[in-house]
Amino acid sequence: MSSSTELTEKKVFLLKSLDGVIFEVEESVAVQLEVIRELIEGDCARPFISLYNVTSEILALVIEYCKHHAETCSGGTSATIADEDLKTFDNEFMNVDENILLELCSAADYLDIKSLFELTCRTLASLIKDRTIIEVRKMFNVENDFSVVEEKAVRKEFAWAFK
Amino acid sequence: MENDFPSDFELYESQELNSSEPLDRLSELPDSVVHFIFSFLPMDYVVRTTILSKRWKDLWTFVPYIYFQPKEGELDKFTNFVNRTLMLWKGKKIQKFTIDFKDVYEPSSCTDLNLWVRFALEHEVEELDLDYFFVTLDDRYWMTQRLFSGSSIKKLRIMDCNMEVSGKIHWDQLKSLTINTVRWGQDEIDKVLSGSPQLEILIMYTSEKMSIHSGSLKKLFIHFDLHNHFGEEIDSALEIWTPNLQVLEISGRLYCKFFLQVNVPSLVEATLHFSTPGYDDLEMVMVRDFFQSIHHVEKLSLGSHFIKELSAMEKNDLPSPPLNLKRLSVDTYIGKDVLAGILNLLEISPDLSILEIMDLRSYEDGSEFFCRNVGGNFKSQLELRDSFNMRLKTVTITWYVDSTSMFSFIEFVLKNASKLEKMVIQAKPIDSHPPDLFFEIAQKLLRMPRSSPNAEVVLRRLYSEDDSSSIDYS
Repeated sequence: MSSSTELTEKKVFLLKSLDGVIFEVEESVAVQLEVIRELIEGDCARPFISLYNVTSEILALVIEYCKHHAETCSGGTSATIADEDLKTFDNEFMNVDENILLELCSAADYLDIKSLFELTCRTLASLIKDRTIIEVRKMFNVENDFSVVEEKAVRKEFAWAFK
Repeated sequence: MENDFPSDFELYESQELNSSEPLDRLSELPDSVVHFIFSFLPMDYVVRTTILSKRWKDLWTFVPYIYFQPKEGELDKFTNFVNRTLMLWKGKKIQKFTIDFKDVYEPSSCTDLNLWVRFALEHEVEELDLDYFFVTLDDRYWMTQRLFSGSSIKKLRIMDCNMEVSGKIHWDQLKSLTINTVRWGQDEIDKVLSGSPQLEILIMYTSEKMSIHSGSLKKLFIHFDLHNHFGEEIDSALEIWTPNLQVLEISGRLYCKFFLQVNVPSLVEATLHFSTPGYDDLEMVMVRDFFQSIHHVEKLSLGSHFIKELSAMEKNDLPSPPLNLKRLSVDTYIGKDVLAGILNLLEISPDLSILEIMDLRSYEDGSEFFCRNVGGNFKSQLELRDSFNMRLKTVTITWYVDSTSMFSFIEFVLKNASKLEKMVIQAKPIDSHPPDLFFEIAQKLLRMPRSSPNAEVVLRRLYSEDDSSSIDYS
C-alpha cells in the first residue's frame, strides 16, 4: 500500500446496504452501478447513498465484482489478457449457491450493472437447462401450486413440448 | 435516492432473514428478469416452464426473445414444435428472434423457415439471427423477399443463406449487419448499403472483388473465405470509401493477388490478419500506399502479411509521412523477417508507446520454424542498423525461448527505448530445454545495457508446472 493515497484526492462514495452496513468505494467502482453513474452525471450524487434493496452480504460481493472489473479494465494489460482474466474471474465468481446467485441477479437488476446482470442470468439459464421441471422446482424451492388434476391437464395439453 | 444518514441507521440493523422457510426467489423475480434468463435458452426449455407453477404458466408466452435450435434428425418434430410455440405466443413485439438451423436442413423446410421469418417481421423484430448452415449450397432454397422490407430490424445476422434481392432494400433502422452469403456480387452490396442509411457495423464474409462506399459505417470487418470456390484461383480486390469509419478489420486467406485501396480519414483502429501466397514488387507498392492512406491510425494490429513486406522494404521505400501509431500489436509466427518489419514500423512511428508481440507458433511448428531461422543473421543485421530513438513505454512479448532473433530484438529495444517504463517477457519453454534455461535467460537479460534507467523488466514463464514463477527486477 502506498502512503500517497492521502495526497492524491480520489472521489469516494459511501454505500449503505439494507441492513445498515456502510461500504466505501472509489468512483471507478461506483460508476459501474448505472443507478449511481446517472446520479453522478446528473451532478446529484451525494457522497452517501442508501441502497434499500441490497443486503450487506450481497453488496460486498457486488463491490468485489465491480472492483475487479474496474481494475482489470484500467490496467495497461492487453485486451486479450484482460478478457481472459475477466472470464476466469467471472467463472469463479459464479461459483455460489442458487440463493446467492438469485440475490446477485436481483441486485444487478436493481443497481443496473449490465455485465453482472447478464452473467447471473446466463448462469441461471445454464442451471435450468438440461434439468427436468421437477429438478428445477427442487433446486429453486418453487412451490408447485397446481393440484394433481390441474398439473395433469397442463401436462396433457403441453405433451408436444415434452419429447 | 434518500440520503438520511444517520437517523435511519438503526432501523434495518436487526433485520434478519427468516431462514426456517425456504424462499422461492426464482418466482419472485420480475417478469422482465425471467424473460432475460429465457433469452439464453432454446424455446424447448422455455415452453416447459409452463408447468413449474401457476406463476409460470403463461410467463413464457410473452417472452420477447425467441430462440429455436433443432436437434439432429428430428426435423418434423422441430417444425411442429416451432409452429405450435409461435401459435401460442402472445407478445406484441419480438426483441430477438434466433433460428440456429445447423445441419438438419432439408429443402422442404424452406417454406416453414420463411413463414417463421415473416412471423418475426410482422412482430416488429429488432434483432434477427438466422444461421442456416448448409442451406447455401442448395439452389432450392429461397429467402422470402419480405426480409428486405424489414424496417424494424436493428441488428441482423444471416449466416450461410442463399438469397437473391429482387427489388430494393428498406432496412431503415439497421445498425449492425453480419452476412455470409457466397453468391452476392457488387450489385447486392450496393443495394444493402443504399438501403441501410443508419448502418454502422458491417461484418462480411466474402471471396471476391468488392467496393464499399458508405457514409454511415463506423466499423467494418471483412473476412475472406474461399471455401466455396473449391480451389479455383481468383484475385481479390477491395476498395473502401468510408469517411466515418473508425475501425477496420480484414482477415482470412487469399489465393492470388490482392488489391486494397482505402479512403478512411476517420480511422482510429486497423486490424490486418490475412495471408496471401507470396509477395512481389507490385504488392510492396500496394502495402506502402495502404500505410500512407492510414497514416493517422492510432491502433494497429498485424498478422504476418503486411509486416513481412515492410521488413523487405529499404529505408527510402518505407511509407511516408510518418505514422501516427500509438499502439502496435503483432500476433503471428515471429521470425526475424517479422521482427525486422516491426523495427521498420517503430522507426516510422515516432509516437508509438505500446508494443505487444505474441508468437502464435504452436509447439508442433517449433522445429521447422527453428530451421528456417537458424543462424545469428538477425543479430548482425541489427548491428548494421542505425539506432533510433524509440518512445516505447510498455512492451509485452510472448515467445518461445528458442528464438535467438527475439533475444537480439529485445537487446536492441532495451538499448534504444529511452522512455521505457515496463517490459513484460512471457517465455514459453519447450520440453527439451534444460531446467535452468530460464535463469540463464534472466541473467542474460540482466546484462543487457538499457537506455531507460527506470525500466522495469518482468520475466514470466508460461505453461509449465510452476506457472507462477516470475522474476521481477528493475
